[in-house]
Amino acid sequence: MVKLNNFDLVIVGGGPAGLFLAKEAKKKGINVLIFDREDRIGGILKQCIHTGFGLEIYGKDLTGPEVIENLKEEIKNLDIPIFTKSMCIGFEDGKLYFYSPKGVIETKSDYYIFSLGARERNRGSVFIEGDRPSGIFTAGFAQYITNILGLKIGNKIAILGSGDIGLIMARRLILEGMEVIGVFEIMPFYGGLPRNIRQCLEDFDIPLYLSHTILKVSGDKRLKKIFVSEVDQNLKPIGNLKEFEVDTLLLSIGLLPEIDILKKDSLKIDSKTLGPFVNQYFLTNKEGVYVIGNSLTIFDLVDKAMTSSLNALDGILKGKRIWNKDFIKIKKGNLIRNFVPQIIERDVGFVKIYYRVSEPIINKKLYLKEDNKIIFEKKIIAKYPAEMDEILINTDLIEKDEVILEIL
Amino acid sequence: MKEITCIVCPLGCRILIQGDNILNYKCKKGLEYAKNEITSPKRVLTTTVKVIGFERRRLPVRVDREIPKDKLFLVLREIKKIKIDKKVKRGEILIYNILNLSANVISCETIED
Repeated sequence: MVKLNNFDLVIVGGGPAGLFLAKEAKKKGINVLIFDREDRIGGILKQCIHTGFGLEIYGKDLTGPEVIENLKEEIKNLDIPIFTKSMCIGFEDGKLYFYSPKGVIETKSDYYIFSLGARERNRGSVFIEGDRPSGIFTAGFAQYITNILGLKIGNKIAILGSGDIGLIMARRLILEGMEVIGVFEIMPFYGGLPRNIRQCLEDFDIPLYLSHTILKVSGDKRLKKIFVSEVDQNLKPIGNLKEFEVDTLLLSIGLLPEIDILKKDSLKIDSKTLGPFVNQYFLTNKEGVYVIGNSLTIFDLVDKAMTSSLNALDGILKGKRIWNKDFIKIKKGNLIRNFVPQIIERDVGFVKIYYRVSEPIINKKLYLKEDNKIIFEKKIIAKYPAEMDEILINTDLIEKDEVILEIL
Repeated sequence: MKEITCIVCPLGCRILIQGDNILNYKCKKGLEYAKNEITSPKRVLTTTVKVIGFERRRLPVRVDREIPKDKLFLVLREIKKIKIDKKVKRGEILIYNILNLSANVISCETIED
């Protein structure tokens, strides 16, 4: 077994968040090592060939592969060892184990960063009854087949869920010569960014069916039909089933933070983000273990997943390996879907909170309150659940153990 | 009054068009987008092309400036003629001035091995 014990920081996952953090950490003199399970670093951005990335960091509207090329260029001369084709297979007694072309590798270091990305929800998450034919894909996997493998996934496509990946794929498949009959969304509002509704659906006259869902599919070997129903305010099906003939169904029904390797023992999980509980450094309750990027919480923009990882670097530079005993807990209030961090240290000045709303918000106010004392307030003119917002709060103003984040 | 969603950046501002007036935009690029959207809408086109003789099968490519929306499929047809069988650098021009639209088709990735 190969042992690598002379690194200050081990990063698991060489996607945008992991690579960005590795670069910034190395520049601060931290001896860093990266592992990635694929043969090429870059994570999911490799297959995101559309533009919309890098605006905040590079000031340009770039494709996913171009952002990765930028990062590769930036780390080229920094002398950061990168182990590709290396899968994390265990975490025991403060040691990480990888299965790699060099055999099993054991690492031990003071700090670990997990930037493992996310998994897609699949058919099992939404219970669609009926046959089990081929032709049903998660949208991200369809993106991999289309953009990385260059294969055609089908001819006549329906998409369930109006999240951004589904919208991007609708346009992509139209451009590759396929027919997209519509996007079905169970909620009365769409899940993706407004710009993607405009440039991916409206540009190509793809119908968006709000308050509609797919209840059943049929097909012998290949998918033949989907059965669609309108739903009421309580998301219960109403009216008659409508049939659509399609040979392919894409599921764009949400992402889940990927932290399975950490879950098996004492990691504290947030039931709202489904990622770990962290403090303002994105430090978990496990000693020396930080989680960043989409394995922490699902970010709306890659740039934000990258820049927010600097919180973890800040923690490492301050030598933080465990939570302070005394901390402030943030509680979820009205119209808030989720947020990170969930806890913050006391009297540390300004701390950034990333949050999402639970439904579209027009002309309301966001508050962070301690009992009836307002710590922070901000007017919200318009905010969609697809967008992640950030606020800077002053921890010096907080006296109690608990504050509540809410929109009224 | 007509509302259009700005696609310049992920903020997705809702720009209002009232006769000759453009309202509610938040930046210069947004204003320019709205003007174009009324007269001749433009879009960035990205796709992939075939790669031969390397481990990866596709190379992501894009146009280096926006092209008229109604020319997307014509440009796409030209781009699909490209086949990559040697090393290529990110940003390298694969087709100059495609269909005389003043845009080049460039590589988004470097292929070295």
